[in-house]
Formats: sequence, C-alpha cells, structure tokens
Amino acid sequence: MLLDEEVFAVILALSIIASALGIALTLKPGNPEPFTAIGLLNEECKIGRYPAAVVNGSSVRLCISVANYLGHPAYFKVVYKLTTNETLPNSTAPSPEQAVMEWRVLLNNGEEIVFPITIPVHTLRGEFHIALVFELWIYNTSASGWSYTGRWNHLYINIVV
Amino acid sequence: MKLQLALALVLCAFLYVFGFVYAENFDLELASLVDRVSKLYSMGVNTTSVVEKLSSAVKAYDSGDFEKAWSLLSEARNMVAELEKGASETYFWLLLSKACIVALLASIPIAVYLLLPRIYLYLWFRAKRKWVVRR
Repeated sequence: MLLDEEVFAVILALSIIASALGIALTLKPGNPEPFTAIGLLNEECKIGRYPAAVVNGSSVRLCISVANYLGHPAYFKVVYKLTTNETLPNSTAPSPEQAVMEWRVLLNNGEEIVFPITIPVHTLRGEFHIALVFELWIYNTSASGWSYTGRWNHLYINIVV
Repeated sequence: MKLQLALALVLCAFLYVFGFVYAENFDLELASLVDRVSKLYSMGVNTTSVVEKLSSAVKAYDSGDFEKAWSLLSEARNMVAELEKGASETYFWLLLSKACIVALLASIPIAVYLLLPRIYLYLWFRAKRKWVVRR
C-alpha cells in the first residue's frame, strides 16, 4: 500500500477523537456549572482602597458588581445591612439584621453589571467596629419570593464619632 | 387631636402596606416574565431586547417612577407574547442545525476512512505522472 498503514491508522484515530470532541461540545448543556457572583468595589469602581473609617451618620460611596452565569436571565437584588461580627451572613443563611437599602437588577445570562451606590453608615447597638454587608438574593418564581443565593460581601469599617 | 393622630397612623399603615403589596406585585409580575423569557432563551430565541426592556422597568421602579415601570413591563409582556409565537419554529431550526452539525462531525471519520486512501493515491499519481519508468 502506498499510504503507510500505521500513518493511516493514526490519522483515522485523530479524526475519530476530533469528531467525538466536536459532538460532545455541540451536545453539551448550555451552562454545566451555573453560578452567580457579587463583588464590592471602591468608589472608583476598582478593587482596593476601601474606606477604613467613617464619621458616624455619614454616607459612603462604593460600587457593587453582580454577575449572572446561571444559564438563563435572572432577577436579583442586593441587600445592604449593617452587622457586627456575630451577625455576619454565611453561605446558607443571610444576616438576621434588618435591611437598610436594596437594589434590584435584571441580568441576562453571562451579563455583569457594576453600579455606584451611596450608603448610610452609623453605629450599631453601640458598636463602633461594624461590617457593611451586601447580600445577593434571587427571585424564585416557584416559591414566589426572594431566596438568598449564599453569596455576600462585607467590609469592616470603624465608626468615628 | 387624638383622632387626627389615629387617622395619620392609619394612613401611614395603609401606605406602608400598599407600598409593600405594590412591590410584591411588581416583583411577581416581573419574575413571571423573567421565567417566560428564560424558557424562550433555552429554546434558542434571542431575548436580549426583552431583557433590556425588563431591566429598564426595574431601573424605573427603583428610581420611584412606578408608572413608567409598569408601562415598560406591559411593553415587555407584549414582546414576550410576540416572541413566544415564533419560539417553536426557532427551536425546531435550532434542533435541526444541531442534528446536522452532529451528523457532519460523525461522518468525518467515515470520510477519512473511505476517502483518504483514494485522495492520497490520486495526488500521488498526479504528482508523479511525468515520471518515466525504465527497466
């Protein structure tokens, strides 16, 4: 045979692998690992240089980023809370503190939004070292209500009187 | 004085409850539309324009312009209904295109097996057609 049999076998094997890979990529689910994300940025909407101390009762300017990689459009809200070390949220439960402010966003799949916010900061039950907590919630249509996504960001801050 | 205070309190309570119910209704309505848009998205329909419209409604609602928010929501509802009409056809073409791509990819090894030796021979003979064979 003019074409070496071993070379032919290698080419054939490569074509089978390429074909299988192509079929797998074509038939794979739209988003195998769905996730959401929330980020806290400084007032210039960049990471770092966060305020460390704030006058009691004043406002702080920050930026929030929210990303949707769930594989479908979703309706989110970011809830702002003032908490102490004992009342921080975790990945399963939100903070028990009352919401101070909230912002709603609707994002398409793969979309990310960054928006500036101005939030009031004050002492909490006499505590001067507090955390600014931003929780990400998603609207659950089957339950007709908001569900905590388990994603949050917090920034420790000292209150100056 | 007490009566006025009581009336003011009742009014405040009413406005609070009304505002809460209003927000709940908006969320519910918006979420049901998002649900429908998600279904359309999974069927391969381009939903970018509807999502932008709904996003504008959310922004209007957050800024306190409830009338504009509900108006945008209504527009989005009409857009979703319009998209739903052609969704089945879009889904059919999406499935068909996927099936064609899979069939094409699956036929590559068969084509290699059947055609490669022939093409190689053809090219080999073509490249060496000017060769003269001597004994």
